[in-house]
Amino acid sequence: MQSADGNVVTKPSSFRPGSDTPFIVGLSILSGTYVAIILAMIAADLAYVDADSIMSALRSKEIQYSIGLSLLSCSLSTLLSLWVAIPLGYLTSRFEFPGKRLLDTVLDIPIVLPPLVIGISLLALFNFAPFSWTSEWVVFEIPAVILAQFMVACAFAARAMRISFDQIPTRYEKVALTLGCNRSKAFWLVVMPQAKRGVLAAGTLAWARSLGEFGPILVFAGSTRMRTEVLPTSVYLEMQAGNLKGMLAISLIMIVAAAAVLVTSRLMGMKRLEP
Amino acid sequence: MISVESLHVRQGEFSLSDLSFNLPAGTYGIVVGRSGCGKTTLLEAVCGLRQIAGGRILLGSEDVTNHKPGERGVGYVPQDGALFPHLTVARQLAFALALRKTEPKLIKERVEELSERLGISHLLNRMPNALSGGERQRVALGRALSIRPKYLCLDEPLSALDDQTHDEIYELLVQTVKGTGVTVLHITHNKREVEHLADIVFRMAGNELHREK
Amino acid sequence: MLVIWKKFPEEKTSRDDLIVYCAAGIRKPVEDAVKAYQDEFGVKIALDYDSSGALEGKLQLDIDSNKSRADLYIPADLSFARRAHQKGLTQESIPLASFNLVLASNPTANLNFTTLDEFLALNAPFVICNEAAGVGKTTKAVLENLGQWDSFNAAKKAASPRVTDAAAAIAASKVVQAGFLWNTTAKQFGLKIHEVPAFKLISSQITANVCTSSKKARAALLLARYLAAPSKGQIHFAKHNFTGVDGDKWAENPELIVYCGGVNREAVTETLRDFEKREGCKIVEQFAGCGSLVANIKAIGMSKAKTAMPDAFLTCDASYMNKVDTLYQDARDVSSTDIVMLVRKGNPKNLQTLEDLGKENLSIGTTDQKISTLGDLSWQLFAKAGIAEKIKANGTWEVTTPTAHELILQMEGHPKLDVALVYLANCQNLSKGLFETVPIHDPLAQATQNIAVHKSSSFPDMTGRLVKSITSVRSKKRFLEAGFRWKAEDTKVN
Repeated sequence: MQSADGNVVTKPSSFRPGSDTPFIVGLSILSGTYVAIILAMIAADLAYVDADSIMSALRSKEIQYSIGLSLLSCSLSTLLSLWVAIPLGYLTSRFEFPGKRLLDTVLDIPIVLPPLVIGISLLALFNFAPFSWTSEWVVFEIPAVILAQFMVACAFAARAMRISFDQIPTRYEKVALTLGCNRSKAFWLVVMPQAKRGVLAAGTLAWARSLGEFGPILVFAGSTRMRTEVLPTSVYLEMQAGNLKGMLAISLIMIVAAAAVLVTSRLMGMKRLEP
Repeated sequence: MISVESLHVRQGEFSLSDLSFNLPAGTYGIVVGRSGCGKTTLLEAVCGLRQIAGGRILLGSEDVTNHKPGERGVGYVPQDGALFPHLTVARQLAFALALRKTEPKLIKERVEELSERLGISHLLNRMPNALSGGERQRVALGRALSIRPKYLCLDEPLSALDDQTHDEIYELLVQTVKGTGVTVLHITHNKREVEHLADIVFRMAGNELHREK
Repeated sequence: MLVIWKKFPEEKTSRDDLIVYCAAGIRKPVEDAVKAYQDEFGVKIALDYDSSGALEGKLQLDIDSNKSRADLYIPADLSFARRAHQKGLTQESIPLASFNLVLASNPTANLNFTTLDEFLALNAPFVICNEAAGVGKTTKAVLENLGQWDSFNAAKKAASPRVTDAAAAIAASKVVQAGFLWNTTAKQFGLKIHEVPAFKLISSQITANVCTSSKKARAALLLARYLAAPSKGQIHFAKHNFTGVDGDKWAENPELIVYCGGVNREAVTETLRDFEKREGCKIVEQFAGCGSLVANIKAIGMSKAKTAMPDAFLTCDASYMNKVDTLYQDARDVSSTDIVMLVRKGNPKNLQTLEDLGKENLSIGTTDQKISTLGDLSWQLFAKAGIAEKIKANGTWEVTTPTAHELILQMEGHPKLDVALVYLANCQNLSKGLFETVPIHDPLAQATQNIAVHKSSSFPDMTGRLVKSITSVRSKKRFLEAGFRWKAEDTKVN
């Protein structure tokens, strides 16, 4: 094509990048399928239980205790986990030091180890001082439940916090330093306020992980009813008894309890995070 | 004055070695150089935000090479301001003062004073994400000046702004900084800023610093 | 490469040539079925026909002279099969078919009667087979029962060594007009069958028996299963008027699913592997706590995946079998294990009897009372010894776990527990030199393991043979070694 002054001009660009529809559809199908399977699983569970088994489970003293202990121990282990995971995440995010890679590997161990091994390892650990001094009130007691949950939940929370801190640029801390902060003040006044969402995410991760954890608890704390029995232990005990309905009833209670706590904390968290 | 002697800084693969310059007290010094030549590294070293491998940094007659950033009395305005995302403008300005446990009454006075001078009084309750680029730079400047530092380090303060705002900020810098006794180290790759603001110009290239003008 | 390649063909079912001793009266269907088998698998099966007794004699001779000839022995009557098994001549026995004893006659003789006495009154010449023939043996037994053996034996015209010979004589010659035969043989030779009320319920079971001396047991079992399979051998038996059996459906390499209580693992694993090798089948076993096994069984029962239902269930305690008794019936006791007190070496707290657990300053571990038989029995024992309340009052009851396995781990892992109530069979793998067991002298203090076949198993016969294998003498040895007591009746099956 020729323009007015005789130069050759190509047509205005007829190149198109291609439709977005297949991409969006693909994403939707993949995510939708997974969500659908999860919901279908829960629906299948619902189909097997009846109101009777759920009511009798809720009425049972042992289950009530188990729910209470689960909520309490998960909350405590989450607080403990955050208490450790936040500084640990900040350390691994901001600082370089010899042996850092080794530290990262060590932090992955609780995630990789089979749950029963963690339980046995904790038991073995408490053979030695200074831990053995506290065997009396830890081993096979409630603190053992919290400790077992903490060991696994903290590893997950530390990972999440590290990623969270990685995403906060270091410029703010630098400015804070020049304005007169030491590293501690810079952390609390400038970094942490920005990490709120990350803390919430790590906290819910730790809580959820703690709720589902029971392998280490079985060996390290036992499954003593009205003492160290938590919800996943209750499910396991029902299964051992061959009581399918009871097992599913408690599982559903667990799902509801977990959903309630997680949704509430997200909502509350969101409210506070919004300006 | 700001003075640097035989400075060696290592930053990963990149390094500055044996750099020296001297900026007399109260002067407005601009370091010009291509992107990536090490200007920011130099600036951050002066502020105390970089590990020094060798050499000395002097502010006034004081050797501050081993001093923490907060001890040097340097006001630092990074690129695009880096305002704390979670604090209002008023609290940004008050930050350094609150840190030093200044009386609330005095803080209020200083914040009002600063915001008047910088033309941001109407923005005191805004959050950083509701400010324009020029407004952000003003607040950043105000935050750095809040403790009346003797030295000011500016990292490409105008690079993200449009031409009209450039002029506004030139005006601002001339009014609030130039000639007030504050020694200013301003780095940029833009020659126009030199024309407007500089008392002394340094050119940085290939790991060397030459004084011009 | 070549080594790996060579491995695969060898894994297939052995296609060995076989020799089968078959009673004359069963010739027709076996011949047809074997021909089909030969065509399908390309092997040669040699059939040796004679009377059941004569064949038995041959088997004995083979064993005495240390020869290995026959692989399969198919006699015409169960009594022969049983005797051969008792003498150690045969091993597994697989039912194939049955036929009935009848009084048959040549149609042209026009004999009419309704009772045995009426027949005798006719004075028709008849033949009775010798006892070496299955039908002869049965005839004698039946007539003896009716108290008419002597009269018939005296009145007979001829005796015959084989049922087919007798039938041929009746059909062809005028010397004998009637005789005691199998219904199928009578039909085979076109003879007239007389309904005698006294014979109505008399049928003879035909079984295929694997010869002890055979070196091709797996192939022999494969052929036997083929003959018993409704879609294969049974067609031929039906064709020749035999009453068939509901054998296992045909599969060259059947797969059995077996659920075993975890406590049985050491005792039973080798037996399972031996069985696989002998029968050429595959066993998929699952060891787990009986509670979860029962939960699994129930879940499968509710689902549509019925093929996942285990063919056999070996429990850690009979109470678990009760929970699935609608699905598993005719359970057989296999073994039992005692509940013991597991203490540290040297028994530092000096626990000699159950009553000693009432002491103060103890740390006692049990399994969960509600969901494990062990836990339930433990507390029953405490109650019986009068220490249940004391233990609770003393606060010495330290920990509860779902199964004995966790208790063992806890005892091994940390010194806090002084004593745990577990099964003796759980203690086999403990670090020797660190622990002791103290017996509890109470009939309550034991668990009985039993085994049952699923009532809708796809391979009930094979599973039945597996049960026999698990309750055999060889299996007994393994159970005893694993710390169990033997409860299955001693059988001679090896």
